[in-house]
Amino acid sequence: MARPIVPAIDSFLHEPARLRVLVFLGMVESADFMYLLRQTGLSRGNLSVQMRRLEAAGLVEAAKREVDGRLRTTYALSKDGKAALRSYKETMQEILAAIPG
Amino acid sequence: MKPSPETRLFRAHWQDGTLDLVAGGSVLLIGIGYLFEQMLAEIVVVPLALAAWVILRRRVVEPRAGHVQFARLRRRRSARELLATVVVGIGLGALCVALVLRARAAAPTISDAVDAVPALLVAVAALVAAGLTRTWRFALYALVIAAAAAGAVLLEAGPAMPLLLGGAIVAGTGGLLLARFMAECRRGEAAE
Repeated sequence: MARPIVPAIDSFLHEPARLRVLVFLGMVESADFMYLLRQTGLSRGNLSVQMRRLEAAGLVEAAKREVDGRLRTTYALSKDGKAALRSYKETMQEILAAIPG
Repeated sequence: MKPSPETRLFRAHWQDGTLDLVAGGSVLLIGIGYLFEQMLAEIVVVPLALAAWVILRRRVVEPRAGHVQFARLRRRRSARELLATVVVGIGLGALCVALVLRARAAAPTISDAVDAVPALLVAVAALVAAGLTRTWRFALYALVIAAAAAGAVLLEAGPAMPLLLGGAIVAGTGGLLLARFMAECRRGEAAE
């Protein structure tokens, strides 16, 4: 089958809330839930759902450790997550370049 | 040139006011030290301030703003800049001391100008902080402190005055920023 002229977008990554989280995690090494909550502006419930989905898809890795007697969960992009984000960027660049004007 | 989103994220990391509050408080304490001729106060104040800042961030900021570890590239760049700054800072400090000693030996009346040196060194430190944190307000603090140092020489006010004035301005701004940060957090919690 011939490669489509306009590439298909990964709809899982293209979801605004998920993409937001992935872009933030792409800029840093790791961040905890509270940091992502503040930076993304998502509601606690929505962020919680997105983190679970991203973890289940293997794009994000979670690590738990105790800090000052509290359990802190930090998130980082997995190897697959980094590759998926890179591929998404390339696809979007191709699509944007194809838009006339 | 518009800063990259990562640079803006890094800059936002320093907007909670704790660094300003602690730095301003330290400058105030050093100023008080000069007022009572305890010039070595900075030896105690600087490590205490560093510890206070770490505690403030962990106890006040991180439970509300969360914790982030910046990318390795950013951390390496910051470490390199800090190292370069320390080396230049030590060099500048040594140069200042040498110039002061030489000037004093040549003309004892030069001591009025010498009074500006502690505040000027603090201004250099503020300029360094501006570069490290990518925040303009620290450059503004440096300007204010340097102007206060010049004013102190003209008014023969002594070395403590620019430190007290600069420290109060920096700590005051830090207090306001921290209050704004806390209010934003409360608004965010109430919205949920």
